[in-house]
This record gives sequence, structure tokens and C-alpha cells, in this order.
Amino acid sequence: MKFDISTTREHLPDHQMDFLGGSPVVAHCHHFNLFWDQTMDDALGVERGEKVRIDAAHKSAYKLLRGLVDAFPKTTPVERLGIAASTFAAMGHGKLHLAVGRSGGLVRGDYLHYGFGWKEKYGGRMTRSAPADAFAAGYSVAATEVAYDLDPGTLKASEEKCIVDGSTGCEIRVSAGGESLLPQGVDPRSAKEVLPPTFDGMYEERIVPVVAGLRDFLGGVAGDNRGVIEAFGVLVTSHLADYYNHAASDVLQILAREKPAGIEAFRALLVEAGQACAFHTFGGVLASPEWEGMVGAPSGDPLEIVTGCIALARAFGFGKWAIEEFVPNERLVMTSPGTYETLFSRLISSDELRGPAGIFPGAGIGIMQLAHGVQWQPRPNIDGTLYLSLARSSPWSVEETSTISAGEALDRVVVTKR
Amino acid sequence: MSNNELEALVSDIPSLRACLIIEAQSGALHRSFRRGSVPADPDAAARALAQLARAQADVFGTGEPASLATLEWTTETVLLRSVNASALMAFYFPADVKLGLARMHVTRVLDRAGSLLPVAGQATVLEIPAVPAPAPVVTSAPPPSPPSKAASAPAEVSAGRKLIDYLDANAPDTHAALLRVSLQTGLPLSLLKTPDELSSAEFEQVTQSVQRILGVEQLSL
Repeated sequence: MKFDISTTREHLPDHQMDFLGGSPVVAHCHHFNLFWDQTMDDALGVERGEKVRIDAAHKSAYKLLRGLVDAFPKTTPVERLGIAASTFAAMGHGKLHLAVGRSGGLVRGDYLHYGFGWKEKYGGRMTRSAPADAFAAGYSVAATEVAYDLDPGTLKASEEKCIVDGSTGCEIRVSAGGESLLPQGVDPRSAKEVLPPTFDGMYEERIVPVVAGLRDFLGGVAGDNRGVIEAFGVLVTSHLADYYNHAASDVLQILAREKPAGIEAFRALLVEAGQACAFHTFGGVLASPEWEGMVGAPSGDPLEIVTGCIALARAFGFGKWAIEEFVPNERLVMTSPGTYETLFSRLISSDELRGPAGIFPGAGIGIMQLAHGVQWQPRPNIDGTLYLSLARSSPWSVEETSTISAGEALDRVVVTKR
Repeated sequence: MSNNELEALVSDIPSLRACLIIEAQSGALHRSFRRGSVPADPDAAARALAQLARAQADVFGTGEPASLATLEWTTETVLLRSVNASALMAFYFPADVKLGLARMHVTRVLDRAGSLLPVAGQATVLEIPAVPAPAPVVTSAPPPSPPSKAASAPAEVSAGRKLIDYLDANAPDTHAALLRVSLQTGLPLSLLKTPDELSSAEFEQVTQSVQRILGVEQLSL
């Protein structure tokens, strides 16, 4: 029997957010994903960082898969495992071979996004012994629990082999002895309840048509026969927003208890992740032949770059980002009636810590770097070397002046020259 | 100040293979920029170039700054410039770069290098050995000559700075590397930006953090 998971998609047009099986999904590249995970490990050490990441994947994937399976009643465990594996591959995370029963088993992974992405980005110049695929591990244990109607946290998972240390493939062990957990997260109903009314910004006449074209284009993008989405010069995933947010929120809580001196650096590194996302993913798309075919090659006009990036953020499900003010080479003010991060913070995070907020401010800096630091004609190489040179000499600073996670009416970040 | 700033200063000279800022009196390497492989160990080269500058002053019987030595080798040309009484700069170009062009680049860099140069009176004091000493290796335990907050010996101070400079030169996403060290160690960024101030325990923490970031068990500084 074939299951069309696209029937479980829901789009909130007013807020430019996307849901699959009732869970928010966003597009992110391997540069962002690796940096995000690395920051969790930097905060807590590799062992605890990995546990937080597996737990975050477990919680968010359980919620996703429960939502998908509930949409297709009367499925067998084998069919449910098939839904889980095909969804994983379609989202660009690689191939999972789930040889698991009620009490666990062994999962083989091919082209798993994090390990594959790490090898792609760092493999030639660094060594790594700690496994990279916590998301796949958490997803595998959640798939097993959902397949056999087990309570979340009945089982646990660990990655026993990973290609980052030279192994030929990845292997994940799912076994008994998990810890009870609550697979909470954002859903469309609660999102609609708490998100403020939407609004437009400047240059909507430029942005809206591009968003529509992008959504058409991206709607047809899925993992290839390896479960990999290679596009725009990066490895792209459709990812669970709850994964990022659970991981960062859990780390923040631990830091607040055990290492409060690290919170400032932690938040700054989340912003850095957002900056890397904007540069690599937005920049990669803007420099791509696909963009040239859809919109035209960027001429280098800063406004053209800024509006293009805002359109991309919307199409990627980050939220209805808007331009409140833009003065070329001086200032960018971006607003939004919620992003996938601040929505999670509003609904799930503790009031004192307000959860993560990296993508909106970080992307603000990244967008200004793309608009003013890149020569767009002829077509530039959006690569690590260019990113490093721009990041090292970046004249931009950012301030978050309003956020819905604190109960305010909108998210606003102001990017200015130092 | 870091190697990053030196890199920013010279990165628009595509033919430049390496640039060293050397403390004139001690021969200690103050800052370095390298692009691709460079034949000599930078520390050893710095000491030798400082000796050469002093010998040149003896030849001409003057300690005037702004002297210039040009070393033409089969594969490369090295321009050594005495910037002031405290600082030397050496520039490595491929041998096929025209001397006039190389000199023009050197002049441009010297005009803008002021803030990167060692400050008179704060230069690291090292004995120049007749035979260059092997490069030190820093391991997690015990660290070699860890600086202490109470330490007054400048040679110890440079260990912390060398560690951070090494991180700067080798870390992935270099611009974020200090933040990562801060998060891993819990040490404030302001302290990491003045690595001379690191205590022994802090130096050890930072060393372990640098090893973790670079994915290595020991560091060859």
C-alpha cells in the first residue's frame, strides 16, 4: 500500500509556516545543521551534547511520526516503519534500514545527513571519533516506538558506527531501557492560537511573486535515491523545527543551572549559525542557475538581494519575514509575526530563558553581508573561503528589539553598521 | 590583535606566500600569515632573520630603521624590512614576482601595519640559540610553561597568545573559534582576547578546548 505523506502537509499562508504530520518543518543546509549540533556539544561536552540531541530528535520525531501514522489508520508495524524510512529519505536525511522489533534492533544508515555532511565539509582536513548522526538515532528509536505503539521513551538509541571515523557505514542500536519523555512541540492549532496577526512590510510587490515561484519549485524537491537533496551547492534538508528548538532549549536550561557563564557565548553561536545559514543557503540559491531561471541572475543591487533573501526565508518556512526599513550599506530592520524559533519559545520554553533565537538575528547579518560584501556579477562562488573573509571583516551588528516569545506583538531585529 | 588582522591586511596580495612580524631584539615571531606551504619553520626563520638584520646593521655601522634586505632564492624572494627599533617584517614572494611589484606591496603593507607591530619595551626577551630549538609541543597534561596571572616573565605570557594564534590559524570557522572556546570552558570572551592573562588552570582549560576544536590530541605550536 502506498502512503502519500504530502496529504498531511499544512501551510499557514499568513505566517509562512509549514507543517508535516502536524509538526513544523523548515529547510536548512548542512552548514547550519552541523554548526547547530556542534554548538550543543560545545556547551555540554560531546557525550551530554549527543544525549540532548538524540532526545531532541526522539521527542520531535515521535510527534511527527505519530501524526503521520494517525493520518493512515490501521497500518501494520512494517508499514509504519516504511512510512518512517521513506519520510526520512524524502526529507533529505539519507536512508534508514530499520531492522527493528518491539524490543529494538539494529538500524543501518546510508548517506545520513550529518555524517555525510560532516565528511563533505570537514573530512579532508579534520578527524572525528564521536558519531554525528544523533538526529537519525533519535528518529530511529521514535520510529520503532510508533511502529509498535510503545510509549515515548520506552526504548533508547545509540550510534555505534559512523562514517565520520572511517567506518564504511552507519549503524544505530535501538534497545530497551529508555527514559520517559514528553514528545511535545508546536502544532498548527496552537500556532494559530498564539501567533499575532500578520502584516506586510516594504517591497511586498517584489517579494510575494518570488515566494510563490519558490514554493512551486521547492514543492517538487525531495531526496534522491540516496535520500540526499543536493541543491544550490549545499546538502539541503527539510527538518523538524522542534528538533533544533528542543535541543537548544534543553541546553539553555542545563547551562542556566550548571554553567551560566556560558549562556552569552551559546546565544552568540546560535546567531552565528543563523548567519551561516543565510550566507550558504540564501547565497547558494541566489547564485544558482535555478534562481537565474526563475528570477534572473542578481545584478548586485543590494535591495534585490535583501528582497530575495526575505522571499527565501518565507519559502523555507521560517516565518513571514518582512522589511520594515532598509537603507543600503547602513541599516536593515526586519520584522515578523513570529519565526519558527520564537513560536516555539512562546509555546514551550520557560519564561525566564525564552529559548533560542539565532536564525532571525543571524540571518539579518548574513543578508547584509550578501547584499554588500559579495560581487554578484559574474556569478560568485558562495563557499567557505568567501564566508570566512566576510565574517572576519563583518561591519554589521544586530540587536533583537522585540520578540513574540516575550509576549510582544512582533519579532524585530535591527542590523546596523558598527 | 591576532593573525586574523594580519591576514586581513595582506589577503589582497595574491602573490604573497607568507608574512612574518618579528620582534627585532628577541627574534621572537610576533604574528604570521601563511598561504600554502612555506619552506621554513616560521619561528626558526624569525630568529634567523632577526640575526640577519643585526648583522646588516653591523655591516653598515648604523642601527637606523627602514633598512631593507632582499634574499633571492631559486624558488622565492624574501624581503626583510626593519620597520622600527622593535619590529621587523619579512615578506615571502615566489621568485617570479617582479622585485618592483614586491617592493610596492611591501610599502603599502608597512603603511598600514602600525597597530600590528610589537610595542617597544614589551618585546618578548628570548636568548637566540645558536641552533634553533625544536618547536614546542603542547599536550593536555602537563602544559609547557603555562602562564600565570602573577607571572611577569614575558616568555610565559606568549604561550597563551601562541595558543590562541594557533587556534586562529587552524580552526574551522575561525571567526567563531574564540566563542566556542568560551562556551566550552565557561571563560569570558574578554579574558580569551587577552590570553597573556590566563592562569595556569585557565591555560590548561583553553589548551584542551583547542585540542577538541581541532580534533587532535596534541598541538604543535
